[in-house]
Amino acid sequence: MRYAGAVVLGLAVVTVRVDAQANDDRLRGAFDPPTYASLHAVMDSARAAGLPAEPLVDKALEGAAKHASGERIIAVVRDLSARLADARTALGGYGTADELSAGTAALRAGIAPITLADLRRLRHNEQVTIPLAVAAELVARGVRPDSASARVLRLAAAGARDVELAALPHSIASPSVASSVSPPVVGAGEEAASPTSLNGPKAHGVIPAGTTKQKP
Amino acid sequence: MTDGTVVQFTLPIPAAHQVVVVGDFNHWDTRATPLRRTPNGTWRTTVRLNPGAHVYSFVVDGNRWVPDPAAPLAPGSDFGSPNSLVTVAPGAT
Repeated sequence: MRYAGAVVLGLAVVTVRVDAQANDDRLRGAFDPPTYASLHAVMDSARAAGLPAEPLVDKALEGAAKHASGERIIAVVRDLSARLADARTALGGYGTADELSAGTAALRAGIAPITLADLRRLRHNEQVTIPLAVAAELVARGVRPDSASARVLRLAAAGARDVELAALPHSIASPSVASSVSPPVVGAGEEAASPTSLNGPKAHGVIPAGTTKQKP
Repeated sequence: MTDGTVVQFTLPIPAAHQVVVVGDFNHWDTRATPLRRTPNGTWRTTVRLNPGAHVYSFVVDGNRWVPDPAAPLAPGSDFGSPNSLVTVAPGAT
C-alpha cells in the first residue's frame, strides 16, 4: 500500500514536471528571448509564491496569438499573477489552479472578495470553481454583482451541487438573461437538445458553445 | 484528454474562408482547432473540455478575432479583442 502510494506520488511529480516543461517550451517558442526571459521571471516568482503558472502561461500565449507587444504581455501576465494572489487570499489562502482562475475572473467581474470567502466556508470540502464561474457568468449576462453573489451563495448554502449551480444563469428572470433560452452550461453525460439552431445568428443565439454532446 | 464534456462551437458566418476556435483549452494555438463549414454556411467543431470556466474566441480568415455571439463575454479584455466564456459543469453523480 505504501509502495502504491509512492508510485502515485512519483507519477504526480513526473506529470507536474512534464507539464512545466511543456509550458516552458510553449513560451520559448512563442516569444523573443528578452520577452521570454521576463515572462519566465514572472512565472518563477509566481511559483515561488505558491501560485499556479498555468493561467499565466495561457495568458501570455493569448497575448502572443493576438499579436500584442511583448511589453503589454509582460504587464498583463504580471497583473494576472497579482490577481491570482488576491483570489487566493480571498479564498482563505489556498486553492487549486482552477479555483484561483475562477476566483480571479469573479473578482474582475465585480464579485466582492467576501463572496469568495463565504463560498469557501460554505463548501469547505468541495471545490468552488463552478460557483465562482457561475457568479462571473451571471455578471457577464447582465446581473448585478451583488445580486449574482446572493444567488450563488443562497444555492451553495442550500447544498446545491455544481451541476445545479451551473444551471443558475439560465433559470433566473432578468431582462438581459431572458434572451438566452438554452443553457450553455451542461453537465458531462448530458445530451444536448439541438433545436434548429444552425441557420442564422438569431437561431444560433439559442445554443452557444455550451451545446454539448457527451461521446459514448 | 479522455474525460470531460464535448462542447460544440458554432459560428454562422457564411462568407468566411477559414474559422478556428482558440482558447485556454488549446493554449491559444490558432492551428489546433479549425471549424468545418456546413452547407448552410455555419462553421462548427467540437472540443472536449474539462469542468470549469473556459475563455475562447473565434479567429476568422486568419486575422479577425470574433467573440461568440451566443455566449457571454469574459470579464476584461487584456489584448484588445474580447473573449467569450463557457462554463462546463461536471457530470451529476
